Amino acid sequence: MSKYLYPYIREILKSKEDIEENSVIWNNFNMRFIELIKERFNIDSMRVKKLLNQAENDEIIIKSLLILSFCISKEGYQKLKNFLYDF
Amino acid sequence: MQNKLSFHQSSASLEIIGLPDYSNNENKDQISIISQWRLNIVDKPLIEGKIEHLRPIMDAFYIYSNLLIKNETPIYESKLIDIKADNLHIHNIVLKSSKPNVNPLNIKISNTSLSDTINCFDQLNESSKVRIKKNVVTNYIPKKVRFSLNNIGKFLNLIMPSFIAIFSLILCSSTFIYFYNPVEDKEKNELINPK
Repeated sequence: MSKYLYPYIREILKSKEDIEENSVIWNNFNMRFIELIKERFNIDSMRVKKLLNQAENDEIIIKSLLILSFCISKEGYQKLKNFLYDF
Repeated sequence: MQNKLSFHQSSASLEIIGLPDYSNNENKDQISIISQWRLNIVDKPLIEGKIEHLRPIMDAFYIYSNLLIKNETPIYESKLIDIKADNLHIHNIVLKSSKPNVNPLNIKISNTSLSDTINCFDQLNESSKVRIKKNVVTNYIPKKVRFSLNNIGKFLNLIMPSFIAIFSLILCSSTFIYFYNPVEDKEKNELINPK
């Protein structure tokens, strides 16, 4: 799945790297991410609050995107499992 | 005539040059004896070397990618290559030459270039046309040394059912001690078998 999403994942990461030149993609992704978290997670939890805090959630979003981008090969499923077990 | 295979992923491309192992009845488009490899990352100096350098460099990238996800300050150091994170987006690679009097090569790559490079290495690993000795380190996933809370939870989940079962068995059987009178039982036995 992440193989097909790789170009998008790459663009989001790239947008964050050049935030001064191209912040639109990152901001849109961040907004949608927060919307989804609010819809589906318990927003009273401290961990979820941390995810929603735009000043603190950069690292977890970048790491999540990196995990997906490292797992686009045929053995990606196994790699993804290994990453998630230790994340 | 040497064979050349290329693996591309956006900003990175990996080129493998070598020969098939005819003694092993391999096809002529196969590469088993690698003579040279080149890793090209857009806007960065070309990285190339011998076969003995390829596997350690691939391992370094794989190990570093694992450390990057798990550690806040990921650092990989070896005789050939050092990789450390400058910040969340930039990774500093130092390639040390095996030749004397050659200065190490410093390259700074972004997250996107790092993932492109790792995907090139994945393509090489999965290619049926290239055979390279696989190390155990390729799929190296460093285990957390500390016994985390998550592991304690799993351990408790494992032993709690058996512990509860044994405890309830002891509790139930001990209550029967109060109902059982050994003197009365002895008298009953004497009545059944009078001697």
